[in-house]
Amino acid sequence: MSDAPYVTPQDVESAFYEAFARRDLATMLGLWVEDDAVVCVHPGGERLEGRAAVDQAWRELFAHDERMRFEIADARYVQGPVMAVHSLRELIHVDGRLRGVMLATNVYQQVNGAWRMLMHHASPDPEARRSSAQRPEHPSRPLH
Amino acid sequence: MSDPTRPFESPDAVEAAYYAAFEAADLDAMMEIWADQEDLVCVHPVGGQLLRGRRDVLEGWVNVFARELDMRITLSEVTRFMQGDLAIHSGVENIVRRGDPGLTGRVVFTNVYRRTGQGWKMILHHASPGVRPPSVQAPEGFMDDFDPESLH
Repeated sequence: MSDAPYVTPQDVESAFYEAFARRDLATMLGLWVEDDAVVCVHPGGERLEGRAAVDQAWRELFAHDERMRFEIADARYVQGPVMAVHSLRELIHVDGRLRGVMLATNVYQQVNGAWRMLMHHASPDPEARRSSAQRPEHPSRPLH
Repeated sequence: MSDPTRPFESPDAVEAAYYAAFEAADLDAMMEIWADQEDLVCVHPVGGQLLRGRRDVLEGWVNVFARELDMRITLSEVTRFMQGDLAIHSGVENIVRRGDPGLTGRVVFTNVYRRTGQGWKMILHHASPGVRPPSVQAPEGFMDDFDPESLH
C-alpha cells in the first residue's frame, strides 16, 4: 500500500492523514521524500530536519495508541509543476469529539513522477482554543 | 537605500526585504513584499491565528508593529527550495529585542515565495515558537533528588 505512487499532492495528503490517524508507521515513513532536506515541525515542537530526526519523531508519536480522526478544513492549494503548498486546518477528533485544531502548512514535491511530502509545519490554532473553552469537559493535552 | 518598490529579482531579495521591514517596523515596506493577491497566508508566533488575504495580513502586521519594536532577527538552519515560480524557505528566526541580554526568542518559520508579474513576492509565512535554549545552565547535580511525583 505504501508502495503505490502518489499521483497528485492531494493523494499524498490523504495518505498522510490516514496514516497519522491509523498510526501506520510504514505508510507514514514511506510517503516522505527520501532526502535529508525534509522538515517537520509538530505543534509546539522544534524544527526537525533530515530523515533520521523526522522518522524518529513519528516513531515516538506513534508509540502512543490514541485513535484520532482528522477532518481537513479551509484548505488552500498553491500548485507548481513539481512543488505544491497546502495551507489548512486539521480538526482532530478523539472518541468522536473535537479535541484540537492545528494550522498546517504542507509542502509536496514531485520526485521521479510521484508526489511525496517534503515539509509539514503545524501549530495550534488559537481560534479553536477559544471555542473549545466553552466545552470544559474536553481536557487539553498535546495531540501531536 | 534601495528602492523598495523595485521588483524583487529573487526569493532571497524578498526575504532580506521582509526581515528589514520587520526590524524597521515599516508597514509600507512590509506590505510591499507580499503579493498583491488574495491567497496570502500568515501565521504569527504570538497569537497564532490563521490570517488570509491582504486585509487580514495587513491587520496582523499593524498588531505586530504596535507591540514589537527594535527587534533584531538573524536566520539559522535555513533550507531553500526553488522550482519554477515557487520557492520555499524553512528555518529558524533568532530574535533579540533591544535591551534583552540574550536571545529573546527562537521562532520556526516556513516562508513561501512566488514569481509574479511584479517580481518575486511572499505568499505565505508560517511561524511558530521554537524551543528556546536555556540561557542559564543548572549546575551539575542540581535537584537530582527531586521527584515530581512526591508532590501529590
